[in-house]
Amino acid sequence: MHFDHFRAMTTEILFAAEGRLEHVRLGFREARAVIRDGERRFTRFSPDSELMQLNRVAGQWWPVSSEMFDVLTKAKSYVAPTRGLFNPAVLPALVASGYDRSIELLPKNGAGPASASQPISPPDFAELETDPDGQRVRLPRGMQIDLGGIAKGWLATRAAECLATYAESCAVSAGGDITVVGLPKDAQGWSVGVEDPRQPDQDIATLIVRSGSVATSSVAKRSWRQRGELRHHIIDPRTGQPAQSPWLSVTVVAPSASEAEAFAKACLIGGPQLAPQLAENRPGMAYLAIDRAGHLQGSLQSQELSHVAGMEI
Amino acid sequence: MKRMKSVLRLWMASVSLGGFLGGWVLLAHAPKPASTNSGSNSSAVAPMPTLAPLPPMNADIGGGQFSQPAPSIPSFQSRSFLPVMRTGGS
Repeated sequence: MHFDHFRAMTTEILFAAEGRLEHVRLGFREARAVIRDGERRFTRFSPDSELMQLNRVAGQWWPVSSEMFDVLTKAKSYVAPTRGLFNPAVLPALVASGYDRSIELLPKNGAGPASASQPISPPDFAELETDPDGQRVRLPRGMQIDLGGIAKGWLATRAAECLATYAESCAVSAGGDITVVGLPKDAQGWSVGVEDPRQPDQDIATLIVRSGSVATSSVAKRSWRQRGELRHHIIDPRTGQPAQSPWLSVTVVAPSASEAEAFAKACLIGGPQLAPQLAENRPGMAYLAIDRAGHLQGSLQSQELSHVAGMEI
Repeated sequence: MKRMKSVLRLWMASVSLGGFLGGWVLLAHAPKPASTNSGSNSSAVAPMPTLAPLPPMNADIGGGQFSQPAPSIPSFQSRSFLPVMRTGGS
């Protein structure tokens, strides 16, 4: 097994691949280029990124790259099945809650003051218009989007597809958004540790992933204090505020990492009332939620878990 | 005194010459080093063994590549392996 790792998108990127080393190295190089290109394209922290250019022309039809068009089309397709709980148009609400700069630059204790006195309810992202023939899109006037999570998932899947052309089997993790292709030699699946959101240095469960993708949304990550109040980056589109969920994190297994990412976020926001309904009708999807007491619940089958909190399954 | 000096010089020259010739004979009869090239092209350089780079000690120092044996995950009952990947949100 060969590995490559580096930092991008303010998170850790890890490639794992089996195959001839000289081929795998070429794959690593190309997959790195996919990630780097995506990082420049989808960041909201650079005014020159394609995303921020698009945000500036809300209300107008605007030609976009094939990568941007694909991410936006996929994002729009997840809005209805998540009942609007997945909504990339939360950027103004995210900024108002203090997440106005890269997380590495955000002071843990004392983010900037709220830029709006009232919570900002995001517009319906499904109102985004797309023109596949002209590869153009139109954001409704006033809509500002953040593609942070879904772009990360989309890039993990894209990089894994790229790496797979050079490897016998491979896995790509972009900050925990993971796509696997093929099975490791002599193994029944890829082993994916699920971080305990209460103790991030420990795993609370281990998944066996045979194909597809995994992603986790967590309120324990990317958090800060604003006027003494603990804030995090998972915005509930119904309130425009950081979500109040009984769960700390939700991990979703799905065919692609962008889908897993969108549904992990929606399930986390929806909590135990909505998550089962959101996930049950999606082919190939299962979820695992962890609450504040460390209890696990979800729809993952026992054959998809190798252990839970040190307990044999 | 002069005679003493001459004897000393002769003795040092003899010992040096003897040591040199002894070493020559010793090396001439030593086993030859194993050939690194069994092919017909004697100018070709034998391939060096490839060593896998060491795993990084700190993931934050700029990344890198490394190789290691495939993790052993043949059994769902096994708890002795480390997960290849981790997920926990980002």
